[in-house]
Amino acid sequence: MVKISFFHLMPYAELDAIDRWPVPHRLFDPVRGRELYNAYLDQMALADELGFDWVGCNEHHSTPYGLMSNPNLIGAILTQRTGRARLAMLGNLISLLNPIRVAEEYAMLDVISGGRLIAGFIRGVPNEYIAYSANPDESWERFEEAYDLIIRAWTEPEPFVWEGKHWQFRAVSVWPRPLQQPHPPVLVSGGSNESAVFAARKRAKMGIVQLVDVEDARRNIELYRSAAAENGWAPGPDDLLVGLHTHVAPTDAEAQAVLGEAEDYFYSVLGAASGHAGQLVLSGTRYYATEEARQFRMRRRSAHGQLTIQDRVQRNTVLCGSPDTVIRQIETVVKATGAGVLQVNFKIGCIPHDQVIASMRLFAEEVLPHVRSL
Amino acid sequence: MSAPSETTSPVERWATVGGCRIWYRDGGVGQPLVHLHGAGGPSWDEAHRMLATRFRVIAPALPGFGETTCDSRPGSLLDLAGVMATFIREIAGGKAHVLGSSFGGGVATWLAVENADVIDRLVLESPASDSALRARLGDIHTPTLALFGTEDRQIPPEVGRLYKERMPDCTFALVYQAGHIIRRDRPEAFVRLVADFLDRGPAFLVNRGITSA
Repeated sequence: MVKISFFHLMPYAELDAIDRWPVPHRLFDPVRGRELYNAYLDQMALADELGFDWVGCNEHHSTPYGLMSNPNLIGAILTQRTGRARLAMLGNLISLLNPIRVAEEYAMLDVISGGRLIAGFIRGVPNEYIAYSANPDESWERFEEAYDLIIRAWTEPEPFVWEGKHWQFRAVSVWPRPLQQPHPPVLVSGGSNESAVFAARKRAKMGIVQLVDVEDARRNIELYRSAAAENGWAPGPDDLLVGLHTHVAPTDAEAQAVLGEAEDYFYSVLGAASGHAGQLVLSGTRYYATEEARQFRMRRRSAHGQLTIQDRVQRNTVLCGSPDTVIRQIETVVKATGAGVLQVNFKIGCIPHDQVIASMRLFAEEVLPHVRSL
Repeated sequence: MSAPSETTSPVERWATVGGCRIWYRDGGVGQPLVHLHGAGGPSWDEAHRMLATRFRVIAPALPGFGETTCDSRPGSLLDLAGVMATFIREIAGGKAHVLGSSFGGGVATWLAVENADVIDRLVLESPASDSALRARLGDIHTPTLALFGTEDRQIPPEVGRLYKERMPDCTFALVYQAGHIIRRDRPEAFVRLVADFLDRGPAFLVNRGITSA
């Protein structure tokens, strides 16, 4: 059974252009910001009401691309504004944060929500390393250690010393401890070979948070499955998430017009803000483990931004069209990848609030019932 | 008898204790720290060298190992503990810090059960135990640091919980990316924890200069 996750970036899509990086925060209007955050929370609460299975948050720093510098604050509000949907924090950037703090905040969210947390452990895109003054060369090491420490902090019944390489604590005893046992399900990115294998080794769920190529995603998921088999377990559909920008309208033409413009803004304005930082980090550090991986990602990043909306629809890397079109697209993506959680992101670029709501409602009424049974 | 030099090389000595002639290494100056080794026999590793800059490290070969001989070989961990109690009384000034590794950790734990008077503070490195010993953990009041490596394939680190739960004065430490022989896999981390615990006891929970998040 396919689940649908309503994902939000909470962008600040108010600027015509961004020509410098870091983006000066004098360009953020707090009055407008207040309206945006609250509209976005309304959208997420509506998603729960409409029957989306998960609502998803993420973490980005120093950029209008996304205003959730701390997804846990949004998660906390969602514990009160939603009743059924799982709260997918995708996720705390554990290489950059205090792992004990992450363990505590995630435990609070899990307890207060009645056990609805999906705990995302994310490495973070290169931009975040500059924002938090962290050495990207240490990214994987810190990620793995923080991962292990957080799981221990949740599951050790007795206080313990953690003598790690990057963190040392003499008395770990996290209060509260999570409600879900043995701990909330963990989700990590599976978009690269290393991360897919890592996810399988840790028995974590994997997510390809923004689908760039269906065939690549299928290959990563295959790698994840075979690595899982080597580690003695088999992932279920719930363990595989694939994410796409989504817009549903009465006709294909209408949907493409709206999302096409939104994607242009997304890539050329919002994406540019973080992209510059990404180039700095990727060209000079060991954020990616091998030179081959680095080259591949840099080439793909630049090609992907330049596609037309028709290209994207044809490649099934956006869900865009009439309800029937989107149903067929979802069938294609699910069949090709085996993903059991489809993550949909409706607020792209400058799409106004009313149109986001209309698209969500149309999706919930005319798409969701037909794709559940896939 | 003069104290051994505080530079790197230990001296080798013999002690006649009970019915045994015990061979041991003796290096460094300061509070005595007796190391009861594991099944691999006595060693002098980088960790010993580093500890010897702060403590007088005494590392005997237990009966049945190396050059130590006994008239009649002590049979059980408990018997070995008895011999070591006498050794500490006669060689280490009556009371010493004790570090026990793996099998030697089992001996050290029995020592704390039956001869607590000879132990100042106790450090257990991936200690072995059986149900009889585990049943007695609650009787040990010696301040204890129990170290387990997260990658230990012989003794699951979760065993440390038992020590923490049952012993009234125990600190349970997980050493990340260390296997069974923690002092070889992560010597600096091992020495940092052990030396700080031996110096400060339970107050070592307070960060007075360790790197942290």
